[in-house]
Amino acid sequence: MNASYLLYSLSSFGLYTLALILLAGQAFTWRETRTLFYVGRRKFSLVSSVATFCATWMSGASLVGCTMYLYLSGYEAFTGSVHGWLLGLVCLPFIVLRLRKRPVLSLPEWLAFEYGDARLRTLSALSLVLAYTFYIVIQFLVFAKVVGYMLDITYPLASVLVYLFVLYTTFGGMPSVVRSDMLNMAVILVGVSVGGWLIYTEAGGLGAIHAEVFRRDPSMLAITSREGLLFTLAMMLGWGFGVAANPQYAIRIISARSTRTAWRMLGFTGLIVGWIYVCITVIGLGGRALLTMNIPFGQEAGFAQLFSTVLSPLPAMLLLLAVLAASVSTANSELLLAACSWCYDVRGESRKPEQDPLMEDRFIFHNRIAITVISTAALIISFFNLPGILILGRYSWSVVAICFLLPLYSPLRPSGKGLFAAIGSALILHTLLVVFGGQLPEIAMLYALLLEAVLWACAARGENR
Amino acid sequence: MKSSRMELWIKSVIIPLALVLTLGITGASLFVEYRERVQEVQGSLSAMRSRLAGASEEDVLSTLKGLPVTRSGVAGTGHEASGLTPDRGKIVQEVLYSQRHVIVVGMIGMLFALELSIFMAHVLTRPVKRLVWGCERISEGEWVRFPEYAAQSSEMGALYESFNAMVDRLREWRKVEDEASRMQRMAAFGQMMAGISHEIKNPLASMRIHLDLVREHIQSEGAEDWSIISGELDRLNAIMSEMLNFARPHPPMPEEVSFEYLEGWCRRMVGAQLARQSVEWKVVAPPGENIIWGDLAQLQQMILNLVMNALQVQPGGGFIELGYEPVEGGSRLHVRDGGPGVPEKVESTLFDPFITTRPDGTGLGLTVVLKVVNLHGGRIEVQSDGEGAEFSVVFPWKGGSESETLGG
Repeated sequence: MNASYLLYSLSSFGLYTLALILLAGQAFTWRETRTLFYVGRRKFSLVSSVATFCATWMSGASLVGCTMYLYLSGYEAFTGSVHGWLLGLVCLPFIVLRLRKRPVLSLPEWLAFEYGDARLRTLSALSLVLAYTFYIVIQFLVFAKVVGYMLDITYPLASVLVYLFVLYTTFGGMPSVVRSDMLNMAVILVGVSVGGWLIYTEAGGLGAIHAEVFRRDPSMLAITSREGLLFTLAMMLGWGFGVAANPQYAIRIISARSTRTAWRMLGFTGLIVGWIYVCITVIGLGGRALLTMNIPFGQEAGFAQLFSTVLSPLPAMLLLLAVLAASVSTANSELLLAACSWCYDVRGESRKPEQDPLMEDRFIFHNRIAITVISTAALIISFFNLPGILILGRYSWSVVAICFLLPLYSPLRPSGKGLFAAIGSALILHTLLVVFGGQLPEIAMLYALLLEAVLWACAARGENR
Repeated sequence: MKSSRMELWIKSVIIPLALVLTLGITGASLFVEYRERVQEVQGSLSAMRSRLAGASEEDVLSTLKGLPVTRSGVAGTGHEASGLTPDRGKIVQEVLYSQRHVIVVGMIGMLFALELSIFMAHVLTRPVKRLVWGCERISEGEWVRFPEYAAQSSEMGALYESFNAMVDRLREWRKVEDEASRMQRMAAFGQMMAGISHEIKNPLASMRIHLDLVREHIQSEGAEDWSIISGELDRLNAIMSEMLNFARPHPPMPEEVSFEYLEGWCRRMVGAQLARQSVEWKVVAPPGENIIWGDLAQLQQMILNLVMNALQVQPGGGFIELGYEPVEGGSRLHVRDGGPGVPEKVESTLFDPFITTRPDGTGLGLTVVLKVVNLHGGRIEVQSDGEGAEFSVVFPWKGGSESETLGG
């Protein structure tokens, strides 16, 4: 590790730490309610909503994964992942009215409310707790690997850092998460924009990048996967459905100040996220045009190594800092949702806020304990660095989609009869296909969703007769 | 609750302290390392100067290879080694690299200290905030008690328990105060009503006589008007009798009254209305004959008033439960209904005259009930929730007084 890189790494990392402490610094205010803790009393302005939505959208794993996918495989990354994610974003406006008409604080609660079955709430909330615990593990892994490379420190030490960052920003509930997301959004935007611009100029523009990439490997400019168009489309749908049904985005739609703010938030998010993907594309393909290297130690270390070679110290650090900010912003959002699912939805502490401040105070304290327990569990799991942990993360992602996609987007509004059995059966089929059938979670999810739709439709038709 | 200065104070002390300590310790460690390294390089340079005096620049540089030095003098003077000084920038980078774990551990320590300070501020101030909140609620007339879980921790727990005990005593005092105030109001009201009723009843009696006298002269087309006037006069007379009865009740003439007789009489009186409103009649009493010591007429009036009350709050059906149970030194009667319960806003004035939630009520029914209970030396309690209300009356047995046994 070049000493000047280390100097920049330490300085930029120290500044980020201080900024996070000062901006996200929270107090455990008296008369906190669950409405404040989970959805910020549904009063987030457009700027806050856009910032938290975008920061949550860009996870460290997706930032690194997508860039390296572009670096290694070219435009296939678009049809394999980016198009899917954007498809999910396009779907989200269709559920704004549906979500906001209910005075709910979580997506499992909405599910139970909308379809009149309390079991749906428990089932989906348990799925969320499990899914997000593994998701947080992935964010920890990405963060720790990038920080480990930046600061040339051991993995456990870097993990403890991210653990404390995430705890610090989540303890204050949604308001604290949103404050830290504003910083994280700025860091992500600056990092990818500066990195993208410098690589763009260094490589001589988009035409030169295309020409160089084509010269090295013409297949990189093809948009379909090497596995074929069908596979590419299936992956795209898998990712798209995952995004469209992701409670992280649903809760941000719920917590916006008004329905109009929610619509506008989605619109502005499209623009910002689009810009980030443009920058990532330039970074990934431009990186490949400038330098071809083996990535033997995993994507995260490869990402850090590549851009500290291609870029000068300051922009390289800005780019790596963007990855850290993306990891923190996604992990704290997931942690809050996991705690909410456990305390509010699974344990059923459903006393309405403002009725008894002492009970409410105790309830919020339970949430903080849940936050500590879940993040500690994720930290411990991340220490083991289990093989296949990334697949487990993708499995969790598809489990969440199975729980929420059809209930959220069903155009016919059938009754809730049979929905619990349909979701349960779909989850079992999905697990069987992944574990015993060797299917990718995203592909298995499509079969599971098909089964869920058929079972639910049959149950609804039976009831109508 | 106003500003949380205590929490702010704790955090504004601990957070800067954590920052200063972390930065201080890490900075000191780095500085010591840096100074030692500079001294080490300077020492090496001095040794070189004496050893390599007069050597060529290439020889000097090849000997010093790997040492962080920079050229600061003029070359070619014959004293090349003396033109070299420690490269402080390079030394800083080396120190940062070698001490990177210390820096990261420092960051972890700082974050941990910050989180600890927030947690400490929370743990220390939250019980006090709860107490302040409780006192504010009491001062606004709302009775709050701290739940058991809040009273678990040592000193604050003792404080919460004392607070709860204080609230209980205050509530008792408020109850006594309300009772005394009500008695005063009732006495004043009784005196006034006695005077007014007496003055009104005489003209009413006269009007009744003259109305009966003119009945014979009323033609058929005026008969209906006459009967309306007659009915209204009777109603007015009944109200005035009730008022007079309330203001100057005759002392009770207690005897052994059978609960079963009282219940049967009451059911017959309201039977038609029960059927009309689809209200179920329930009786809860031990088997055999159950006796109450009281004035039969007054007991009948009291029970009827309570049952009528229960009927009126359940226009769309429900149930009325009449119950009896022997208690120490007397007997307890209760009338329970499945209505909406007593509204919180009228709870404290429930037995006051003319307080009613019904547009057609006189507001005297429960006032009369209380009067009867007081005349018998008994006690009345009301329990109410969203699923109904229960009026429970305790009558002392022969010669006893419930209020005396209660210390009143």
